Amino acid sequence: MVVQETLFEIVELVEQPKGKKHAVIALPDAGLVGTIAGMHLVQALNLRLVGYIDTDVMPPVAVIHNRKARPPIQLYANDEFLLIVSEIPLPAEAMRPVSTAILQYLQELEPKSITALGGSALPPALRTQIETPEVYAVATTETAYDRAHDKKIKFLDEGIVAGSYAIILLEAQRQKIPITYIMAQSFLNIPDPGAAAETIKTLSKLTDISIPTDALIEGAEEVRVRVRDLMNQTTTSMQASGKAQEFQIPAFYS
Amino acid sequence: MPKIKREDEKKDALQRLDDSVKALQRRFDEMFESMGGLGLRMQSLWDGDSCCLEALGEVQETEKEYIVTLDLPMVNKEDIEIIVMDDHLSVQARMREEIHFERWGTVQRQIRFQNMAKKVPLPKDADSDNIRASFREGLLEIRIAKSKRRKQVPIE
Repeated sequence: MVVQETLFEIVELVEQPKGKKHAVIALPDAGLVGTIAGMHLVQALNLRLVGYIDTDVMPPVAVIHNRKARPPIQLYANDEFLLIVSEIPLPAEAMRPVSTAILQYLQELEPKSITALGGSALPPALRTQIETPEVYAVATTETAYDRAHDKKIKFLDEGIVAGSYAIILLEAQRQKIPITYIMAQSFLNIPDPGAAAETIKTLSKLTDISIPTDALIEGAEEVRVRVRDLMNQTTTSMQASGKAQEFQIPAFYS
Repeated sequence: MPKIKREDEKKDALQRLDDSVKALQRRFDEMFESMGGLGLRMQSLWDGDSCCLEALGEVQETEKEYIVTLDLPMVNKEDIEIIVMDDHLSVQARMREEIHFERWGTVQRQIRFQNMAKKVPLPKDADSDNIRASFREGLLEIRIAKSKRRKQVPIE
């Protein structure tokens, strides 16, 4: 299937069946929580590359794997999951078109569920003191709300979400696409595998599919070394998208 | 608690450290300027010649102190050295094992890293005699107290 618009192209190298899989969105963000979780899902669930998203608004970057050049936003899947990941941070100007592309694709695919994974940055001295980060959900529809509520997941009642996930949430809400955004307390500019592991545990609860996280916890320090450059680039991108606003309390706090 | 050494005790080590850190000199100066966003922008984070990676970090400011959190994965506490200079802190750490990449980026050669370093500028109101550090799970937390010196300006 190829969906083409002026600004983006979604290419399936392996055709994805409609209505069969749980979709997961994992984009570079606070603490690289989504990205680290996505990397772990690929390994733990043996996901295979099944496609990619290309868009005019992304930087002219190709990721080379096994000698083949691919756009940095990629689709991985097995029989149960479809994962959308980006290997580079989304520039602020690309966030809206990329989010639109992802949502349009998911709307056509009609997955069993859609979960987005990310971090909710805490001041570093506070995050350091927390052994197990809390996880909060934001739901875009009643269906998505019920899905998390039934599993007793806490909701973010008041707060600010900035960056690409903010666009995805707003647009999904407008189009009534049920997305559950799972955010774990995390560092902002330091890779946070511990927070990533908590989002995966929550994803596991939401989908009723067991996903081991032991390897992620055990290899956390090595992961932190390996994703440093992406974290550094993402820091710059987050500055441009006002990510630090998440520390703030909304003016109309109720 | 990791060792905190004074400048006059470690002149030679400082010189070596500075040479190594110079190669990694980054925009950490921006750290305190961009405190509001806690953003630490850096460019290249590695130096293959000195086998050194630049540590990622975050800064938090409170009423009484600056809290610098540095990411030092694969490092043991006893292999961290923090040295107080006139206007900055130098942090150097040795990783407990080498990390190597077979075909590193555009240089396409094997590259190994075994050290991490960071130069942390001290803000003007930092009290360099009152710095504490702790280390847990690869995260170094340095608390730099703010100077309490105050001078009232008389109105003529």
